Amino acid sequence: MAIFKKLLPNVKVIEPIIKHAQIIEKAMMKFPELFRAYFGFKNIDEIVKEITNLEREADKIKERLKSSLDNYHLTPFERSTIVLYIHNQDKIIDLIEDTSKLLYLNNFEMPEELKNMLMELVEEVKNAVDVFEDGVRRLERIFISDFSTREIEAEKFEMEKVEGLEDKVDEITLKIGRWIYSNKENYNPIDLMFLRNLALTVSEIADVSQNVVDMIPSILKK
Amino acid sequence: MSILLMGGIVGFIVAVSIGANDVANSMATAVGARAINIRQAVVIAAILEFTGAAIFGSQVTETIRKGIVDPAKINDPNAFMLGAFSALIATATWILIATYFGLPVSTTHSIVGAMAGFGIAAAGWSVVNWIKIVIITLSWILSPIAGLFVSFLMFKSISAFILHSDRPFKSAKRYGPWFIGGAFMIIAFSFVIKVLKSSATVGLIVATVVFVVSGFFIYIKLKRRRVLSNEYDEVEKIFKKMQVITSCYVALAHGANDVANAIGPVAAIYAVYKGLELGGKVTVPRSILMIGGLGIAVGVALWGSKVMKTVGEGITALTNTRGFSIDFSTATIVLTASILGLPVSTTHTVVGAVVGVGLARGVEAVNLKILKNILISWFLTVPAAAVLSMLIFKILIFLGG
Repeated sequence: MAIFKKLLPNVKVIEPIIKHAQIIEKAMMKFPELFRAYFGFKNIDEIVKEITNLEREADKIKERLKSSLDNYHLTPFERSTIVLYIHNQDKIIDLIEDTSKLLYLNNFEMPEELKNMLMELVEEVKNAVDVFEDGVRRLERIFISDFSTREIEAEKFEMEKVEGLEDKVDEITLKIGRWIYSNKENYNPIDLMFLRNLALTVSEIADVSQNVVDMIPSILKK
Repeated sequence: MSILLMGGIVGFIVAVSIGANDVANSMATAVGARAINIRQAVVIAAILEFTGAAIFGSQVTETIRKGIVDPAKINDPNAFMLGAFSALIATATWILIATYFGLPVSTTHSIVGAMAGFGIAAAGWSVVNWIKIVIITLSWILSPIAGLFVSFLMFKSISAFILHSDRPFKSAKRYGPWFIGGAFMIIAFSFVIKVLKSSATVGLIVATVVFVVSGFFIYIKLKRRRVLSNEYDEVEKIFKKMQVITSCYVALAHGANDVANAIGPVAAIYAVYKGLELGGKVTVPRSILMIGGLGIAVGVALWGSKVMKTVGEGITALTNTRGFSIDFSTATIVLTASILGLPVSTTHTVVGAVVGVGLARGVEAVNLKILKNILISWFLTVPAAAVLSMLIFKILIFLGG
C-alpha cells in the first residue's frame, strides 16, 4: 500500500527553485527602502534583519533541495546541474545580504547627484532581479508543456531582457566610478573606496542574476 | 459441501482484502491527480471491479484453477479440493504476515506460489505445469516493462500532438477524444472476442466502430470549451475529465485480473464438488466470479476510502496528462493479460507505468529504490506462499481431511 508514497516521493525540483527565486525578489524589493533610509541616516536595523531572515530561509530551501536529490531519484533534470544552479542562484541573495550589511560599515553626507545615481543603480538591479524571477517562474510552465520548444524559446526571449538590464547596470556603475575618481580631491579616500565597493557589490547582483539566467537552458537539457 | 462453503468464505475474505488494499493502488494515480475524489473512486471501483470480475474474470480464474497444477495428475479429487483450500488459506495468511511486517506483497504472486506449493506437496514436482509457471513468471517481468513502454509512448504522443503544438488547448480538443477512444476500443475488442466469443475480425470491426463513435461523441462534447486560464491548465482540465474514464478502465481491468486470486481456488473446489472433470474445458460459473467481484466491491466500500486517502493524498506529483498516461497503460496491459489468462500484478504494472512517464521527463521525481520491492515480491512471496501452502495441505491431510 505504501508503495506509491515511496515511488512518488514528495521530492520537488522546480517548486523549491521558484520559491527560492521568489525569496530573492522579496529581499530585493527591500532595497529602495533600505537605501532611502540609509541616505537619510535613519535606522536600517529592521530592514537588514528582514533581509537576513530571508537569506536564511533561502538557504534552508537550497539545502533541502540538495539533500533531497540522490542518485536513486529519477528526475527530469541532471542532479549535478541542479545543485550547481541552486548554488549560483543562492549567490544572488548572499550578495543582497552582503550589500545590506555593507551599509552598516560607513555613511557620509552624499551629494544629491550621487544619491540619484545609486538609486538608479538599485532600481535597475531590482528590475533585473524581477525579470530573472519571472523567468524562473516560467520553468513550471516549461515542465507542464513537457519542455516544448515553443516554451523554451519564449523563456530564452524573456531571459535576454536580463542581459539588456545588466548592460544598463554596468553603464550606471561606470558612471558612479567616474564620479568617484573625479571627486578624489573632495572626499575622504576611505569613503570613496567604500562607495566604490558598494556600487560594485550592488551591480554584481545583476551580474550573477545574468549568469544564473544563462544556466537555465542547461538545466532544461538532459 | 463444508470445504466448498469454507473455501467460499475464505475466497470472499481474500477478495475483500484485495478490494481494501490493491484497489487503492490502481486508483491512486487518479485520486492523486485530483481527477476523481475519494468518494467517486470508491463508487467507480466498487461497480467496475465487480463488472470486470464478472465479465472478464474467467480466463485468469481458469489459469489459477487448472493451469498451475495439472489436476489430472492428482488421482484423489478430494486431495485436489483440500489443496485448493490450503492454497487459499496460505494466501490469506501470507498476506496477513507480510502486511504485519510491512513487506511488499502481491496477492497474484501469493496465489500462484500457493497453488504450486500444494501441488508439489500432493503429488511431487511433476504435477506442476512448469511451462505455465515460466509463462506466468515471464508475464510478471514483462508486465511492468510493457507498462513502462506504453506509458512512455502515450505521454510522448500527448506531448507530440498536444503539449508541443502551437495551440495546445485546441489540439487537446482535437486529439484528446481519440486517446480515450483507444481505451474504449480495447475494451470493446476484449468484450467481443472473450465474452461474445466472436472472431478477431468481428472484434476489430466492432472495436473500430466503438473507437469512432466514442471519439466523435467526446469530440462534440469538448468542441464548445473555451480557454478560461492559461492553455496548459485548460489542457490538464480536459485530461482531468478523461482521467475519470481511464480510472474506470483501470478498475475494470483490475477486477478482471485480480478476482482470480481469490476465486480461482474456489472454482477448483467447486469443480470437484460438482464432479466435473478437473482438467476439462469447464467454464467457471459466472456466479462464482460474481462472488469474487462482490468481495472486492465490499472491500472497497468498507476500507477503500481510508486506504485511498492515505495513498492518493501522498501523490501530488502527477498532473492529469501524466496520470492519464499511467492509467491508460496500466489498464491496457492488465486487461490484455486478463484476456490471455495471465495473472499479473496491477501494482507492479503501475510501477512500470510511473517509471515510463518518469523516463519521459514527466514526473519531478520517481524513487527507483522501489524496484527492489518488486524483486523482493518475486523472490520472497512465491516461495513463502508455496511453503505455507504445503504445510497447511500436509496438516489438513494429517487431520484426516
